Amino acid sequence: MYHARVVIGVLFGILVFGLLDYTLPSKNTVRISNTYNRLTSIPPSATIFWAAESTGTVENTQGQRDVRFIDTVRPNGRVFVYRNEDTGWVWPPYFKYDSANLHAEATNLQSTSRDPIWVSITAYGWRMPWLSTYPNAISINTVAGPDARPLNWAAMLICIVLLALLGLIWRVWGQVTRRNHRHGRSST
Amino acid sequence: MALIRLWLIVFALQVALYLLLRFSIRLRQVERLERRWDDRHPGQGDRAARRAFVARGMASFGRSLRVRLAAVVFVLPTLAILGIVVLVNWQ
Repeated sequence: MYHARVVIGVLFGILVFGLLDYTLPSKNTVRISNTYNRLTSIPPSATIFWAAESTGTVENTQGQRDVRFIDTVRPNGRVFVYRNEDTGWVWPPYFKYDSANLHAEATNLQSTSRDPIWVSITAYGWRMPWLSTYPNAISINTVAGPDARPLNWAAMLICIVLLALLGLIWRVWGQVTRRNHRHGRSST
Repeated sequence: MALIRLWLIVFALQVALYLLLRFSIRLRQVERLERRWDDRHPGQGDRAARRAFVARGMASFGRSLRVRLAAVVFVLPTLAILGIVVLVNWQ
């Protein structure tokens, strides 16, 4: 029974970590090499990694969706592709509606390797080529150079709020069990 | 339509947080009042007089707490969401 609880606890921890790692914003310093949109068919196994249909996506008769992509190159030379979709009103709670504007900004900041313009892209999500998932770019800001690493204050703030919430629940639980002990009732 | 879904979910979470915070803060105030009574009347434990003392102290506390807590729990997250919308979609 004890081992079952440990296993369930660890699995729950992994689930929470994965959810946070996917949903929290991350910042990367990259050079934008290309922006385009392309008809993409979303594989049914990966629909949760793409925008929900309520965000105004349009599909053609073959079930393909027109998706905006941003090709980037990292300072170490490796490439990384973002998508640029609206997020809608519910989840993830980014309330992003300016994909077209963001795409215009990204196109404006395109550069070649000879004459690079380094930008910091804030995005959420995972890049899994085998599942065809791409992180969703939220905002783009120019930075001084490939070594610039701006602080990810949004993720830090969210983590602090979540920890505060966890602390609150922990304290209330402690209060309840303490009173139950004092009044002679047995806790769980 | 999706906006109504968002509002419902946020409202449900706010109600849950409000109840949790109200329970926790009231419990702390009850224990504070009990300790105060115990300091004045040592060694008497849980008596009807103590319960009446706590009940009187909680009456006005509950009223002011409800107002302040509702303002914080229901207004702050809404402001946060509006802040995110402006921040994410601003040029």
